Amino acid sequence: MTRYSILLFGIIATFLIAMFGLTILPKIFIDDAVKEPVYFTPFEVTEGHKIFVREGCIYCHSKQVRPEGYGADFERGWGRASVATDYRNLLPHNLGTMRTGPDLANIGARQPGRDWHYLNLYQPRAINEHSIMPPYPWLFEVVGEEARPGRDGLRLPEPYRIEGKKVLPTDEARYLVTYLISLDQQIAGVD
Amino acid sequence: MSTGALILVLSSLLIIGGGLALFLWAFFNGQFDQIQKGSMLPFNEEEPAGKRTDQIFGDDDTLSEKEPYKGEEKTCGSRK
Amino acid sequence: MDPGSKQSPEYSVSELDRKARFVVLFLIMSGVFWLLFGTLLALVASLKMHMPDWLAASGWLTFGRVRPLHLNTMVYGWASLTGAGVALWLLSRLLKVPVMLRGYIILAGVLWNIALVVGSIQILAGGSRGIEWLEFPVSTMVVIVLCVIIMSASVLMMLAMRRVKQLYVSVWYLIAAFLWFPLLGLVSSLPIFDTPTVQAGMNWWYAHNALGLWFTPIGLAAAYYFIPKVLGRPIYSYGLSLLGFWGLALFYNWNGFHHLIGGPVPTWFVTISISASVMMVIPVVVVAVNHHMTVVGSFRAVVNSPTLRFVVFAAMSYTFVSLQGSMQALRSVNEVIHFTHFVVAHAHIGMYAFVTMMLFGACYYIIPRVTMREWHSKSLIKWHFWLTAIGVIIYAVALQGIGVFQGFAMIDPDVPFTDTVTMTVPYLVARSVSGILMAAGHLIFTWLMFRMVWRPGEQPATPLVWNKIKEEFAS
Repeated sequence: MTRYSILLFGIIATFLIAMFGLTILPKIFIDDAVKEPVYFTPFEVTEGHKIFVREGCIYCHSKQVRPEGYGADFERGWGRASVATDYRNLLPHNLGTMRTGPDLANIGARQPGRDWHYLNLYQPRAINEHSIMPPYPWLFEVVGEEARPGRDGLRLPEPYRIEGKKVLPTDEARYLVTYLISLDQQIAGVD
Repeated sequence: MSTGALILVLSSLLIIGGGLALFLWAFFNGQFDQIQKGSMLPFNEEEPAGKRTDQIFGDDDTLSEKEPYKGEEKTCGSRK
Repeated sequence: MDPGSKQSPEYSVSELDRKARFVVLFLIMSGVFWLLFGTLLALVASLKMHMPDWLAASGWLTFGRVRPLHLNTMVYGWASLTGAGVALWLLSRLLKVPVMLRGYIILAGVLWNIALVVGSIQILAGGSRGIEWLEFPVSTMVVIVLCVIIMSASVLMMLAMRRVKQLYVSVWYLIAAFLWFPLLGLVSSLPIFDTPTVQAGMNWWYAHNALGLWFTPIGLAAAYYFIPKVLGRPIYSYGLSLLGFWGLALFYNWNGFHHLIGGPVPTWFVTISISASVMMVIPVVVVAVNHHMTVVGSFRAVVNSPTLRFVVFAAMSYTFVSLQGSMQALRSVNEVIHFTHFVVAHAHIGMYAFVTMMLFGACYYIIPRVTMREWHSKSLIKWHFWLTAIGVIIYAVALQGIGVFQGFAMIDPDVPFTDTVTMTVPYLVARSVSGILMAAGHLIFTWLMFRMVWRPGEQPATPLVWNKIKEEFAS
């Protein structure tokens, strides 16, 4: 090989062709399908998404449901196949590649209760003793029984209860849970 | 046929055609003449083909730290 | 097409090595630092997988931040910095010109390290960009890409000044790597991927190409150089090696979307990537045949050479992991192994058993030549080899083994989801054990490397240039 201009040309050309094919072309096609972001995304959901990204939830929970008949996503009750219009407003994307834990694309429909989520975030093993999910105690504050009258602490089971204290979710926990509950395939376009 | 499939077929034809043209150009331009000659490029007078290097797990147990690497004669650990 | 200016002097191999010394040592030693840091993060992340309440009090060390930082430090710290050092050394030898712009490359290396430190703190503090393989904030990525562009400029200058008529296949791969990676990094930093599914497409196009168009070319270039060089025997077929190069350039580019099989993207994009993944069999088999035919019959020479032990192990891993990857891209296989630990292990065979082992092998050849010193201890090199080789084999067998069962359990709706978690836990423990073995190997490697540059009282044949940066700028 003595004509290295041909080599450089080939190197750049192969790259650009594939770049066009796998990034620009999908953008044209998908942008065409996902028209305008007409949905209003509440502040709590946007903030919750940021915390979801910050704590790296996506490394264990995918957020994409495979079509019925391909895998058992549908049979497990994780919802219908995800489509591009399910995700619209919030970046970065959270499609994920791992299911150390279950898929979350439709978690809001499966677990609509806030208390369940608070408990699961504070101490996952309080809900499922076999869980290997990390706890997120920094999203909660532990205060004395008398503090913040009118607010009930998390209903923790025995080994996790702290005598004379109650555990309250912080704003971050409330945002995150609002976001998780918003993950409901009935509410399209939240993310 | 959907637009996607059309784009796919046309672009792949284009790519295949381009590749073929380049190959034919290279072939008749003599780019493939004596191609095996290229395999000698890593070697030179100092480190010619036919001479092994880097054979340090040969005989003795300790690596001599005294003998510096000096081009051809003392290729690092070549005392096999 | 004349090779450079006629006036530039001919350089001997040892002169070239001497000129490359500081810049190559600097890049490789920075890489080794990030290797250690990344290993620490790996151990923390691995232990947390089966000890979830360990170090759980603060957000800084939660799994979801440590794991991405592990990937990023290994990829942009260890493998990229060391890979760049190895690549520049190879280019200097194969083009028979000294590494160009050495002062600027050192400056770039310093900036690169600073960017890594800043990016690492940001990820641990919760500022991750949240895109796999691109967790470092855009600022860090842009600095890294600019640093690579400086190196690319050096590479193109070396190409223009070359003292050889023909370009060896390693040079092809390395030039390609130094053109592809900056382009990849720049495109991935563009703010045009503004809807989640489009960003997901860009994400996996980028992530797969970072391996395929940056680390793989560097690794293969090293294999194509060191196997013939150590054996003293030219590569079996030069024609095949060119076929392998163009096959990689054509097909690897297109592989990314196989990470989105079953996902919310138009199916035909995914189909393109599956076809391209299967087409990768061609360049992979071509490379494998070529390397095998060169090595065959020289088993003793491979065992006797620390470089070739690692390089041949890495080359075999490349064949294995690539063929496995082609298979994994098939829809029927992907249905089972997608979303399981199988893929995690696959990625580690690629980045560790192939790329990292190749870089270890390259270091064992390069460092004695640029420092003009012998390795401190032969037996420690053997320990390094066996610890890392056995470590990564345990890793792969344990996680891919259980990954298959996990996958079949996950597509069987009668198995409760919790069972797909509990069944993996013993194998996650095995992974931690393998991690400890590899970490021990890395400590040995670091010690060996450290002894190469720091030996009080002993002068190398020519003095090391730890404080001669000015000289590098002047040359």
